[in-house]
Amino acid sequence: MNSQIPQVLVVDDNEAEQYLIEYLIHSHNKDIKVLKAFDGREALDTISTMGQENSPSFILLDINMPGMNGFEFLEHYHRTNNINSDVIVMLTVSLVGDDYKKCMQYSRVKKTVAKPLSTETIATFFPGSE
Amino acid sequence: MRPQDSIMVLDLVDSGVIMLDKQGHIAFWNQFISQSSHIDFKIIEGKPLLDVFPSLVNSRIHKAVDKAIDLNFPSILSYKLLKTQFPLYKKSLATKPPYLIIQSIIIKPIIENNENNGCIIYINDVSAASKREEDLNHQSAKLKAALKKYEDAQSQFEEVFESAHTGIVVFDKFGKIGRSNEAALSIFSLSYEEVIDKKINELLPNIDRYLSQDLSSYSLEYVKEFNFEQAIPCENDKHVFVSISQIDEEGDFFVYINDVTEEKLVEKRLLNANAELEEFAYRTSHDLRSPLVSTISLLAIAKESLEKQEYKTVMECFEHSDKSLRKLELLIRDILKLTESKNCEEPHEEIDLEGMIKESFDSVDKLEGFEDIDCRIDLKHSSPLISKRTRVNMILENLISNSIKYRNPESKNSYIAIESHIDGSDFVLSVSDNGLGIPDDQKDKLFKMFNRFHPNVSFGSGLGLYLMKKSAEVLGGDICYVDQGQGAMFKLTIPQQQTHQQGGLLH
Repeated sequence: MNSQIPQVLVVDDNEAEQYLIEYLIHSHNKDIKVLKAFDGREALDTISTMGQENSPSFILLDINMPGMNGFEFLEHYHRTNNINSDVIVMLTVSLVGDDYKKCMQYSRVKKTVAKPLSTETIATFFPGSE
Repeated sequence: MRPQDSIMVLDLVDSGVIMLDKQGHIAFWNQFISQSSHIDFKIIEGKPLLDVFPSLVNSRIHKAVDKAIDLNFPSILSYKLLKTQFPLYKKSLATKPPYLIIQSIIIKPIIENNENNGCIIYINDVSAASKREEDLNHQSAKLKAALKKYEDAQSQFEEVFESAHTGIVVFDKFGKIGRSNEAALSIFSLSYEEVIDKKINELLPNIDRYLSQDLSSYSLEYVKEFNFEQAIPCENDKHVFVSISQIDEEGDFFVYINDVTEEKLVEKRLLNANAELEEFAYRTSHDLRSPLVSTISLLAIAKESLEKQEYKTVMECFEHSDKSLRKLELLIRDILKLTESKNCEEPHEEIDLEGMIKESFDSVDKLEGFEDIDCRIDLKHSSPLISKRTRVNMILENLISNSIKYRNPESKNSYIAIESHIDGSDFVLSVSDNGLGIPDDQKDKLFKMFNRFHPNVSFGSGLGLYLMKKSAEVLGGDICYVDQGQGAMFKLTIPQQQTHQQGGLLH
C-alpha cells in the first residue's frame, strides 16, 4: 500500500450506489480519491492503466452486475493481475446461499459487508486513520 | 376232484357265481354272493331267482336269464348297460357304508345232451375298473377344458400383443428377434422385415449393459426382470422406457418398450421452468431491492445535508433517487410484460409489417440519438405474414430500441437495417446495426434473464432479449444472434403462416 493519498476503486453498476459510497468515503476523509467502474471489465481496465505504483488501497466490489459480474472479475483478477496487496471488499444486497463461501475462497478477499454501507462500516476500512 | 372241492374252489374266487335250474330256481351260489347279498344260500336254495331278488323283475338280467334258459342264448351284460343290478354290496373302509358292487355279468346256458338244464350267472366286480374309467373320463374332461383355456389365452395374448400401445419385442437367448408388434415397429420407425432376425442390441444398444452375455448368449442371471431408459438411435430423438423379462431360464426374452419422449420433454421443460423461476426470484430480490435501498440512504443524506444547508448535495441526492426510482418502475413494467407475455392468448392475423415498423420508429423517436440514425428498410417477403400481432410488435420494438440505445456514440454513420424475406415456410426478419454489439464473452448469456451488456451506456431491465426469446417461442419460431464481427444482428425466424398451436409449457 502506498503512503500517498489513498485511492479506492468502487465497482458497481448502480450510479446511485457509486454516489452513495463516494459520499460516505468523503465524509470519512475527503482527501481519499474515489475511482468508479460500472462492471468487472471496466474495473480490470482501470487497474491495468493505473499500474502497480498507483494501485488502489482497496476495491469495493459488487457481485450482481451486468457484463462481467463480481465473481468473474475475481477470477480474472486473481489469474491475470500482478498488482498485489489490494484489499477487496464485497458488497452485496442479497448474500444468497454459497455467495459468502464463494467470495472467501479468493485469497485477496479480506471481508464481506452487506449493503447499505454506513459511515461506521466505511471507517473500519481505514484502520488507524482516525 | 370231488364236487365239494369244486364248490370250495368256487367259494374262493373273487367273483359271484349263481347256477339256476331250468325252472329258474337257484341251484347254487358261491360264498361271494352270500357275503355280498347277506343271504345264506341254505335259506334260498331251490327258490326262484326273482323271489330272492324281486328288484330284477323285468330287468335286462331277467330277460337274459330267460333267453339263456329258453333259447340257449348266452349274454354278456356290461355294467354300463345295466340299470338294475344284483343288490350286492361290498364293505370298504369301516367308516364308510358298504357300496353297491358295479357288476359285469355273463349269463351262459347249461346244456346237457342238447337239452337246456338251466344257466350259470357269472358276476364280476368291476367297481375298481369303472372307478378308474370314471377318473380317466374326468381327467380327460379337465384336460379338454385346460386346452380350451390355453387356446383362449393364446388367442387373447395374440390380440393383446398386436393391439398393445406398448411395443413388445421377443428375442431368444442369442439376441435374435423373433417377433415384434405394431407398436414396437412404430416406435423404432422400422418395418417388420427390418426388425425380424435382427439382433436386439441393434435396436437397443444399451441392452448389453444390463444383460450378462456369455459366449454371445444372453441371460438374466439372478434377476427376473429389469428396466432402463435410453434414447434410441433414430431421426427424431426418441426416448424409451424399456422393461425386460424372461419367462423361464431357457425361454425367450420379452422386451416391453414405452415411448416416453413426450414425458421426457415435459420433464426437461419443467426443470428449465423451475430453474428459470429460481433465477427470477434471485434476480428480482436483488434488482428490486437495490434501487430502494440506495434511495433510502440517499434520502437520509439529503435530509442531513438540508440541515447543514448543503443544497448541492441535496439536489444530487434527489437526482439519484429520482433515477433509481425510475429504473425500478421500468423494471417492474418489464416484469409485468413478462407475466402478460406468458399468459395472453392472441389470434393470428395478417400483419402489415411496414406499418408496424413505422409505428415502432414513432414510439422511439424520443430516445436520445434517434435523429442521428439512418434507417434502412428492405422488406422482401412475398407472401403476407400471419402471426400474433402483439408479440411480433414487441420483438420489433425491442430490437429497434436496442439498436438506438446501443449505437456507437462515436460514429457519425450509425444505421439500423431491417430486412425481411421468406425462406421455405418460414418468415425471416433481421435487424442489424453498426453499434456497440455484444462483447464476445457475453454472447452465451444473451437471452438469459437480467442480463445487461452496457451498464454505463443505458439502463435496461435486463429482460428485453429474454422477453423476445420467449415471444419467438410462442410464435413457434426462434430468435438468434448473428455474429457479424461488427455491430449486432438479430434474426427472427417464425412460421409465415401458423398451421397449428405451438409453444412451451409456460405459455
